[in-house]
Amino acid sequence: MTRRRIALIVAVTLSSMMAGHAQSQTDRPRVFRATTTSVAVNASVKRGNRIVANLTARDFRLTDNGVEQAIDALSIESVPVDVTLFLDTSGSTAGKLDDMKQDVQGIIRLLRPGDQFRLLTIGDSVYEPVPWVPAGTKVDLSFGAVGGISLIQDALLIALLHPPQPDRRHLIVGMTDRQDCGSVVSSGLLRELTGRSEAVLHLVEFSGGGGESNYRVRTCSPRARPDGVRILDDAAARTGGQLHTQSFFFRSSSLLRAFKTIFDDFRQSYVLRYSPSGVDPKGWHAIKVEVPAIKEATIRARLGYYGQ
Amino acid sequence: MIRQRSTFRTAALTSALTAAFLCLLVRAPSTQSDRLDVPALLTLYSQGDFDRAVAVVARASRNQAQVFQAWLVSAGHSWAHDVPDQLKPRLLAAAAFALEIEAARAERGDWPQMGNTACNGRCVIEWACAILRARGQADDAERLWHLAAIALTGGVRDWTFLVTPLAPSQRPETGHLVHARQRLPGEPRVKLARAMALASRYDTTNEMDTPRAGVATAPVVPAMPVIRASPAMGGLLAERRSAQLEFVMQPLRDLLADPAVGAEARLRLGYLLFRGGDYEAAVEAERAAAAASSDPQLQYIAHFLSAQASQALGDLAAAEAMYSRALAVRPKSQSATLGLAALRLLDGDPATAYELVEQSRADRRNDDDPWRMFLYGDFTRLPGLIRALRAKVRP
Repeated sequence: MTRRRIALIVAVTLSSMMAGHAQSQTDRPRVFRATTTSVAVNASVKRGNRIVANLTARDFRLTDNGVEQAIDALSIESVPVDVTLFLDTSGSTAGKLDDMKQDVQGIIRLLRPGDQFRLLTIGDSVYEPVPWVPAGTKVDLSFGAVGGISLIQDALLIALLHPPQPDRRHLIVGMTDRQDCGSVVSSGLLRELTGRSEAVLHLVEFSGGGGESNYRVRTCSPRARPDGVRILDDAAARTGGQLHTQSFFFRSSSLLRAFKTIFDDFRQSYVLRYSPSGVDPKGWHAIKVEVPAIKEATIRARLGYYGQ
Repeated sequence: MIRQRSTFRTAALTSALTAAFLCLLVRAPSTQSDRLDVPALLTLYSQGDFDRAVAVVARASRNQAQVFQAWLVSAGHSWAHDVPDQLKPRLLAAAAFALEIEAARAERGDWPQMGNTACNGRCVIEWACAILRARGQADDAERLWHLAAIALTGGVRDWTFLVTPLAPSQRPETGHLVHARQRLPGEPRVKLARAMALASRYDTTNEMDTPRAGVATAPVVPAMPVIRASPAMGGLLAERRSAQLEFVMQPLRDLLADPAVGAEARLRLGYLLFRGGDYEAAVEAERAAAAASSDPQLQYIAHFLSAQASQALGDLAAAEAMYSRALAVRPKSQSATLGLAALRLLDGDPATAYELVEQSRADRRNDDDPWRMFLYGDFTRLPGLIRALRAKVRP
């Protein structure tokens, strides 16, 4: 627990999505366009490495484009979570596939009743070997390595588009070697997408097992972007999540352990809801969350959202 | 009696231990026992039991396969000459088998361009190429073999094996394609392969900047420190790049009128124009390429690239139309779906973006997305070429 850094987040909630409030999960698709009617922001509050619990709405101060808002707050502990896990099973990481599968089973066991889970794998394409299943489901993990290039940003588009019901939160945990290659989704576009989704994105650096040779069929062009790390770090931070590098988050550890740390922190965070007032509904809304009574508090929350 | 029994027991025990030892010896991973039987596998392959012969090598350990490579090159020739009246078909079988095992090894990442082993993928292909020449005049079987070898090499992006240098040079051109062109001087796909290899230096995955309506955008290419420090150096490099780009586009232009490969040459020329920043010309080339072909894979890529170039021009409506046309040709394909979904999302329409992606994921074919295979040359043709080659080998 001492090394956790987590965060949560985010915004969203659009009226059209609200219209789908009563719909069941199978009634999708619904919309998650942010509107002026309601915005939800996940926030994790830490003092040092310790989670600060039992805060109420009165403890928070939230500004939307600099204008303080009246908020409701509740602990996310009571909110069901949609968990999207994506694994980079491209050529560079495919050698750890068996370990990853074991961890996936463990991750599903960590979920609570009411939570749901899906698995995406990436390589030449983005696949969904495990579609949304309720917590506790024993899933078939007989899929093989996808191989090939690393379409991390394409996978993130697919993950971020998921519109959870308004009373649920969406946590995305990606396990990757951080080298996107060949995505249709550009890094600039990814940056914008993070402002249009309520999901909280955490990326876990994972190294190796696969690409001992650059001359494998369907490998990435050697001209992959050199600033891939910064792009993913930025994307995660904008959602209130984080890029966890091996050096300081976990070392030679398992995905299961990393996920548990992220998930535990996520569940001890807060959801702040408000109806924006005094601000132009259109354009980018920069959000700032503070806990005035705890000066040394470290707060992770989404950095903003796009209004319509 | 007791002594006799004891002697008997001792003998039995010794025999059992000897048998066990021999068993272990046979199974032990020594270099000798690691050797796969080259003549036996060549015979199996030449008799038409292709999958079984290839599977033995594909399942072998990396060391076993390396030993096999070296042995194949030394023993394959003698195996072919063992039956003089079957020399020609046996040489073809040996060359085809060599190519197939390299394809299997490449699938698991064992195609090193360089290496300290006696023989690697390049070496095996060149050996097979040489023994094919010993069959006499090039025939259709040899043509298929060359096309398959080119397709495999594209799959591993070993372009310099196909042709060197990739840029203007005073040096004479070398590489595997030199042999292929000598053997098949009129073959348009070999000519196209050379053009693709030369163009490979622009087979980058550099992404374009975020599309904006009415605003032209450029590739996102972080500048090298030397360019940041010296704009003059940046200018020189840009000039050099422009000259290289012109050099690699010419072989594609030379093929535009070819009835067999003209449309694909135009498709790939359009890609180079796109990479060079001439987006209007890229759109025009891709539209012409799509119109000139009935191949849905080619049309899909042409529409996709046209959409990308339209995005770069800031014409997002045209980009959406071209993504839609790509999906009309090849429904549910992921690359065009994501391109279109991203534009919908940018336009504030996440519901449609979500629907597009959901439907694509639910129904998406399990095959390779044409755009994502585009930069690997003829690699998608490899399975078909191997099937055709096997038909020539089959007794």
